[in-house]
Amino acid sequence: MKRLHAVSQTIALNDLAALRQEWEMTLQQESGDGDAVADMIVALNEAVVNSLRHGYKQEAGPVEIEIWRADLTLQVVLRDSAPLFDPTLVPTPDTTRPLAQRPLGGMGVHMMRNYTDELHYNVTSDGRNQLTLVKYNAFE
Amino acid sequence: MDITVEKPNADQPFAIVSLQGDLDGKSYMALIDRAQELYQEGIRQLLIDLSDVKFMSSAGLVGLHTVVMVMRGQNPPSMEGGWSVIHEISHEMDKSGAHDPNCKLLNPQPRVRKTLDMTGFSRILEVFSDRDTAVASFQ
Repeated sequence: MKRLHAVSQTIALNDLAALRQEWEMTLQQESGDGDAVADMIVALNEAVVNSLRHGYKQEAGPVEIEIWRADLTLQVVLRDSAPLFDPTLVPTPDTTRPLAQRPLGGMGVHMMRNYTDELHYNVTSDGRNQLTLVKYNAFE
Repeated sequence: MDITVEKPNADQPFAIVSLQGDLDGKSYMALIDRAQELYQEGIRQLLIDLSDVKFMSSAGLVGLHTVVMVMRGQNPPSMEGGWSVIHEISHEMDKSGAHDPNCKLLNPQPRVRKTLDMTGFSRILEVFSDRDTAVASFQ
């Protein structure tokens, strides 16, 4: 496994546009596949927003992000110190129903699931949330 | 994100709102605010031009959802209440399952279109690739 990128800092919602650019540049330099990279950036953006909006209650908060490459597989690890919450347990919305009959708030997790090939949650040994997002065939 | 507004016909309560930039958690409120201003000005139908939106997050979907409500004369929720408020109001949305007659989308880029399709929004908000056809559909 090769680590391509790592940040550990306090992040606010307003920082996300710059972070997305940083992630995109990192992955382009590594010859990331355009579609796969774009998918992962959408998913990772939703994951970080989820941490800030729900975990840190709209406030800035400490977040760690690591981007790894293993052969053609892209793996992103996100850790935060917000109250423990497993987003993978959020029910999948039925997107075939009219907008009226389904909650909108579950779309972030729905997008995380659909823009990745694997999505795993666990609690770190020091008691933090850890979300792992995986995309196969993400490099040319 | 920049927002530009055109009102092609002063006699018609219709506007074209063009967005430039990312429609995300930082910008979606600007779209909602602009829609509210337009509603106050008498606008009831919107074509939202997404040609220059390269990135859209789930917050962007909340923005689109809320704009539909605004054009229906429904009070949008206070965003300070968080996403749970959106859950509460979502039952007010279109119950017919048909395309909304008052809000339509123009020319989303493939990445944005993918999110619209994935989340079922393109079944609610009709998507056009041709501006003239889209404008004519409101008449």
